[in-house]
Amino acid sequence: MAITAARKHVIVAAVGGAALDDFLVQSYDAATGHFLWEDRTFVSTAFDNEAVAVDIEARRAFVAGWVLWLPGTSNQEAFLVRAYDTDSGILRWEDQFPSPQICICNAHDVVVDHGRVIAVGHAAPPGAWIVRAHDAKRGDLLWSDNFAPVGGTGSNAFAIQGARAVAADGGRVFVVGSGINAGGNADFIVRTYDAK
Amino acid sequence: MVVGTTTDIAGNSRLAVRAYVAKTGVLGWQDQPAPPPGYTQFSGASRGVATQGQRVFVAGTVRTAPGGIGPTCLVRSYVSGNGRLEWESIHLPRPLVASWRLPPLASTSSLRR
Repeated sequence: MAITAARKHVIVAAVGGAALDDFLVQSYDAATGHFLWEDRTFVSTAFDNEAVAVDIEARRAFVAGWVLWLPGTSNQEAFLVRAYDTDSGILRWEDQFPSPQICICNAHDVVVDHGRVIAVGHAAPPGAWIVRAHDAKRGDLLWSDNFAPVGGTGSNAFAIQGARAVAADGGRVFVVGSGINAGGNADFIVRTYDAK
Repeated sequence: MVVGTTTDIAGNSRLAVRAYVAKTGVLGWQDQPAPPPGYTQFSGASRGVATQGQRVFVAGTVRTAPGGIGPTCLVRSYVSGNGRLEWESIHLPRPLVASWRLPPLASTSSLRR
């Protein structure tokens, strides 16, 4: 769950549903708390969909998380970024990235800076980082990086490593997370990218 | 502003909001609200706080039972200087059938405008 505010809007990225868990985005009036709009996915499972991060720039809200990848099998999840008009809640673009391999692909954080949306998370192979940069207005993929630490998932096949947080400043993108090294231990990792 | 969750011995969670003076670390105000009627669990989130001007917005999740399904989002707005609650809002997601959405088929990356 995450929350951000800009101008007259409060935008919440969450998980919700009457019985199932959905990628849920809600907007409230910052002055009154009045509910404004909502968007959610519903793809029929109780654990494959969640919105976890949000950022705003130029009247657009960018929300990151994951959603069940329906063409996949075995509860395959796709890395998901959605862009909304903050006034109306209209979906402007989205990117679902399931990875070329069967994957529990999740976006864990998103930041927008000077017209670029950077979303980070984990993808395939297991333990790999994924960093994807989009044009904020059109959603075009500008660049991406898939970084696989040498140790994979280490001794725990269920361990989920990858990029966990992102920040942008001065034309650079800073991504932090963890990965298994050659010795089987988890390293704390920071990687810096040129935003362009 | 720091937001988190406390849990008692019975497993009941509570949203915790604490405001510190940045320069000294002195606790300025705090809030640990009970969940709304009908709910027993109220959790915070590490990214569940935002500031804008003199306001602090906090998002939490309420549930009817520990670990229960059907999480519901709740948002509270405070005056940052004194912790006075301005508003609290909870909106139940609309019926599932009305929001059914299928993702595009069979592409590695699907962009939609």
